Amino acid sequence: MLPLSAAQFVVASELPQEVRLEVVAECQPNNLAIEVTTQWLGEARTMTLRDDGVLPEDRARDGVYVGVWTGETARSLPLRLSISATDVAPTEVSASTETVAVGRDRIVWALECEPQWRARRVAAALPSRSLEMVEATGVAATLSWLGLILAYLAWLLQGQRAPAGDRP
Amino acid sequence: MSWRGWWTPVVLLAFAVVFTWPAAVTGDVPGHQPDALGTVWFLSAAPRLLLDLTDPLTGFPEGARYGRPDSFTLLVLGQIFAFIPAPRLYSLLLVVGVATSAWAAEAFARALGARAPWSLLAGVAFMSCGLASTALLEGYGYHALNPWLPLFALAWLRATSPGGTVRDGLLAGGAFLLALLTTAWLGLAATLLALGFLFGGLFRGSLAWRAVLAAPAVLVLPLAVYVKVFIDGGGATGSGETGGAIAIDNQMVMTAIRLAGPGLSIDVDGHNQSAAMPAFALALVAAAPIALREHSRWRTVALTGLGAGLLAAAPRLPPETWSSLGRIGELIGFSLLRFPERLGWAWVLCAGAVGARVATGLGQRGGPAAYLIFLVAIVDVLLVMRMPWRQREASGVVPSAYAAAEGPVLDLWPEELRGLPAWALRTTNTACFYQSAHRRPIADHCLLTYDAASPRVTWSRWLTDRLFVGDVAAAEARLAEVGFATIALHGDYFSDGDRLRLGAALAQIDAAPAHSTDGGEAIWAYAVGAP
Repeated sequence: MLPLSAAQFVVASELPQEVRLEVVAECQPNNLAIEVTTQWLGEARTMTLRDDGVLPEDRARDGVYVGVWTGETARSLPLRLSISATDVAPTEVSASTETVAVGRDRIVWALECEPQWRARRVAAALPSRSLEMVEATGVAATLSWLGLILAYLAWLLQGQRAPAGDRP
Repeated sequence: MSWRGWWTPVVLLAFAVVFTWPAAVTGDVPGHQPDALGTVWFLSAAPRLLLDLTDPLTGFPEGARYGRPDSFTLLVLGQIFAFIPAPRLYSLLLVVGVATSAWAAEAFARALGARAPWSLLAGVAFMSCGLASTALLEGYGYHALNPWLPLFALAWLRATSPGGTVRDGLLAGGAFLLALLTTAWLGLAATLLALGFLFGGLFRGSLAWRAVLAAPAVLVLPLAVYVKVFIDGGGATGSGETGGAIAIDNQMVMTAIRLAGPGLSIDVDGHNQSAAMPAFALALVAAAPIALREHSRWRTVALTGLGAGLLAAAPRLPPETWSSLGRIGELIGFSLLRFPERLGWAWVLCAGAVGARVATGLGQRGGPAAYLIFLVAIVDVLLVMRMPWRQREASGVVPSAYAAAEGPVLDLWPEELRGLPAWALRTTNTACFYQSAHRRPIADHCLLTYDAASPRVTWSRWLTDRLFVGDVAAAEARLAEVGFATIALHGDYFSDGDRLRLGAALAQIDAAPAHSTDGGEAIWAYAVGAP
């Protein structure tokens, strides 16, 4: 046998892993169905994402399709995302290998139909315009925060004389 | 109530625990990117590498030479703490690194006239900046193991001031060397500080020359050895890269994004890269000309920092500019300056120290209202920089299938057909991380450069080809001849068809492979030459 200490192999928590998959559908053709497949530790898995409000944090018919996988900790998942609808033939819209964090993780795509059907990874389950707005708001909030601190410092400085001995 | 000296390290340690969370308690590996796994391997390999930078356990069968490691300091730490499992050691170094670096920055601020508790702001600003969070998230946490830069600044500021002593110069030389040995980037940042403070002293006409000349006296010999090792090790690792080809206006947009607070999408699209400065430090340093009117050393520090900040934000020059300078130009332009924003370490350090000096003045005269700045700093770290909320972990467990046999392993992963470096880095770093625990020789070269494929890729490409054409017996004979004892199939990542075909072919080599699903992967370990 190898000269291995058991501690080297079992040092980390072995809690179940929960991976939440979300797709924001920018286009909503009739009877849109979104399916994800993966290999989870050697096991082939398929899941249909739903927008029926059953899962926690999901609102029915808000355009965000959700599904949750749980299992033993996986390091990365090969994920294939495909869609079908009344007027859309089954189409693979994304194929990638995503690293997943220990514990809980969330992987979000935006499903776009122009110029062709495709799904791209995004940071949050928001329509692209809303996501851009959130990003811009974040920058504005950061600048406002800086302005607020400057105003606070100006208030502190107001009326104060410059230090006589600021020489270190 | 007067501030007691021992409160400072305790408070900064608490800050480090929170900022690097969950590093203090986890057995997994903190970090978004696979670089963290590679760093863990580097720590584990330190006892083998320290002597001559070669490793017989990677790059099998030839072995690997790592002539240009990014961090020599990490190599020494890996050797000293070899009794701690490498993933745990990596996590602990994150906490200790942030705490000691913040403490050193706090000491630099005190040398500039700041007083505790206001001087704590310098430490918090230094280690809560975007560069620090990027290092922790991307997986090269040794960039945050950085007390050397503030200690250099402290000693060099004294050496270049009236009354500077030879001891100050010697300490500055030693700290500069340690910064350089931690990563070349910190050495470059220290160089900017060295020039700025020196010019400041010259401008005032008050240099203590013996103190100033003591620093290079310490540095000359080690620096010559370092440069030789660096160049012998193939210094210009990015020589094939053409980063300067990006249009300058696009570069400026990207720089502006990195300088702003980390946005929502940064960890999906931005590779976690942020160069943001905490807003409280920026505001305090902006108030310095009003709050610290009297001409003194703070101006030298602030202007040096500002110069470093401007250099860090400057666009990269086109490759031909550097090529015209010959080999040295290529080394600097292509290799050293791939991430110029890292020069911003000098800016953050100086701004934090000057900011702490401003806060000290405000605190002494502003009454209780001035203490609100500490609340502002906490909000900055937690809500604007969003640490530790952005951190995540990779499994620290190694698949047990590797423990089923002894001898060299050939890891078999699929290839990224688009040739993007991310997949190659991920597979190599993962295989090397596994090696840190199973200790068997592997074919991977664990410190990959952009223009070189790991030898494992060549081997697995050849083997996959042989297996697909049905030349299984000859392939097995060749692998056995070279010395490989195991083929580790990383089955999850192959397409269904490829996995089935590979599995069927490999079953001819070993009909009952060891199989495991722990360690975050399904692995089938086929014994080469099994009866």
